[in-house]
Amino acid sequence: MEHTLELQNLEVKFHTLDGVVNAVNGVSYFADAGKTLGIVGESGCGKSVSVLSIMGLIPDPPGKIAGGKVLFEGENLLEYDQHQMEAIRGARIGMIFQDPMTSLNPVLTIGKQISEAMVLHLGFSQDDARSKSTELLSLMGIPNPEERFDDYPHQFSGGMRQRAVIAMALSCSPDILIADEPTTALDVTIQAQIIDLTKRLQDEMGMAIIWITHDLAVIAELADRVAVMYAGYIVEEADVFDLFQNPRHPYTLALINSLPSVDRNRVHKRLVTIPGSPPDGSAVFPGCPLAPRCRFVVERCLHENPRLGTIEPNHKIACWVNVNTGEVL
Amino acid sequence: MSESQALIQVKGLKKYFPITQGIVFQKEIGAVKAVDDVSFEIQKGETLGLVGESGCGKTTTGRTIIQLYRPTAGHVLFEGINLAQTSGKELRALRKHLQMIFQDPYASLNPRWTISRIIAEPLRVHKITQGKASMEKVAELLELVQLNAKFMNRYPHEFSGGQRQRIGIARALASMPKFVICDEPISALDVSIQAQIVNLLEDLQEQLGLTYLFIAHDLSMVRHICDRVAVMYLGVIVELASRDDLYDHPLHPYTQALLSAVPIPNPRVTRARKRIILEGAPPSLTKTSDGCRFHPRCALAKEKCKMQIPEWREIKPDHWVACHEC
Repeated sequence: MEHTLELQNLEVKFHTLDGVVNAVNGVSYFADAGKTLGIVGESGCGKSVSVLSIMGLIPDPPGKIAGGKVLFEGENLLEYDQHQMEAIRGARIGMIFQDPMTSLNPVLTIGKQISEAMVLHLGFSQDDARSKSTELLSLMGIPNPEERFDDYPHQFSGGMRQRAVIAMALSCSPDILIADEPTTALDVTIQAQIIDLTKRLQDEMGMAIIWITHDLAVIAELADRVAVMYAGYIVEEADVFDLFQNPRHPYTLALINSLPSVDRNRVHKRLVTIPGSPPDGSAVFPGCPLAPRCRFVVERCLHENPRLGTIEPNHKIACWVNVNTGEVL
Repeated sequence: MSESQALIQVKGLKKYFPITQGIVFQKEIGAVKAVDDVSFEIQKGETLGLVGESGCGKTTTGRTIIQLYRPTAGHVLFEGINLAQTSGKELRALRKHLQMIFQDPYASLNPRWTISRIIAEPLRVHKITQGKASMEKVAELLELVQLNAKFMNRYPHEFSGGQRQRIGIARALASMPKFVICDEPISALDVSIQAQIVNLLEDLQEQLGLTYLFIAHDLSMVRHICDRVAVMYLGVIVELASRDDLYDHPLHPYTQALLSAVPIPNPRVTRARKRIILEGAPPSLTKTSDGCRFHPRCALAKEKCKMQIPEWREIKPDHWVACHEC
């Protein structure tokens, strides 16, 4: 089966005054219709840069897509010109950003911003766009959508703004929805509402979702497949149940262990930490980027970077060590 | 626990911020009731968690306790001294016992000062040490927070977020405080760094016998670090209980909804449980309705809840709740 969207060996570099930063180093992943791919990692691991490349939103310069392909329905989006990309962005691929305050234009009404994509891409008249927008707003659970259509972003609360942004992203019924930390700036109760809403919309509309977050608990809630990123590499990729039950990469294992336990007998035990901090991207390692922080490190890790390889059906890791047995692969 | 063990006693604390109209002749037209009649105690050596959604008054409560904001009403007793009635001079002398760790390690350190100057500032202000002795103390504090003392002549931008938070902690501990308010100390940090800072805070508490007020919105971390937890909604505390009691048997409908909204990092568990999705968002603090503040969003709300403010009562030993229906 063909994937809705597929990244193949994507490489993104940023040329800065301090030298070249390798933000994304040969990353491959795919998204399927009706399924959610979760991408998890800490700040600076390249998760946002990889999806911005899909949308053609990497500022060039300083950014440069150095290699790889972004296949959407078999076509490589990286070969598209600005004009062709505009027909895809917003129409076929929708995107939600982290901070709903900065992703909305403060001087345009909410309604105007939601209608814009429909007028542009679907050729709707203003009146049609208005009725469709109010329909979308009510689908998002915003009360009195008719009146709220003419409100400005500052009249909306944080959660409502994020709903408006989701309405905007879904207005043209895209095949893919990319959500870049959409709930990080929101309270847990509002986060629960947004997650619930997105899941329901996916069931109804059947789009593929790529959901980026640093929060493993959110991933556990809504992803079907998960890719864990570290220092611009995917270090583990698996089915969500498999990943939490049987994490095989030392980084994933450490991330899961660093969370406070929900089991009340273990809840007050000391947290397991990952020493040090993530590398900043400009450092060049001959070996595995996790080696300085890894408790399973062996000689080979220091001078040879492991590639992502399949260890079980549907489960890939990039590591020289079997974390369950300590055996070097 | 006996009365004498309480390090901090908060009684009927209120903090209203006036809303004014006009430029030359300012007229008060209302008030933001950020903290509205809050009472609790913090025992010596314990960690009290304060949780709630943004804008519910957690930070204002913390700041009013250490008198960064002067309370509108009520009092705060620190070792029996009423902080709300102290003069500026008396307060300054007491401040060395009351310190704060801030949320954003990027905004809370002066970018033009070296680390040694930042950490030595409380030593200078409180006339604890001077000159060379200060530098020795700074080195000692840096080691206490597990940073290398040779970093003391560097500037904040040379450090990562987690390291900066350690510097903020060293500064807070410089004057040997008895009580420390941790205002969202880990929410700006990466996941792998959060656990390091939490462990450090726990170690320091044990070594130095500190008492913490831990303000946070990450409920799973609060369960890990706190002994007792208070839940705030729109300027009032709705429930206060020991950690396990609160998480295992939440009584207030808001606490129940808040806890059920927290995602659990286990796909099987989190997808199997039933969630209470709260409709809407918290209303504004300026137009608070009569009766229970939670009633417009509460599934159990009855006629009484709209009319009468629920009493703050001890429903079972050490478990306090403000709800008519519990």
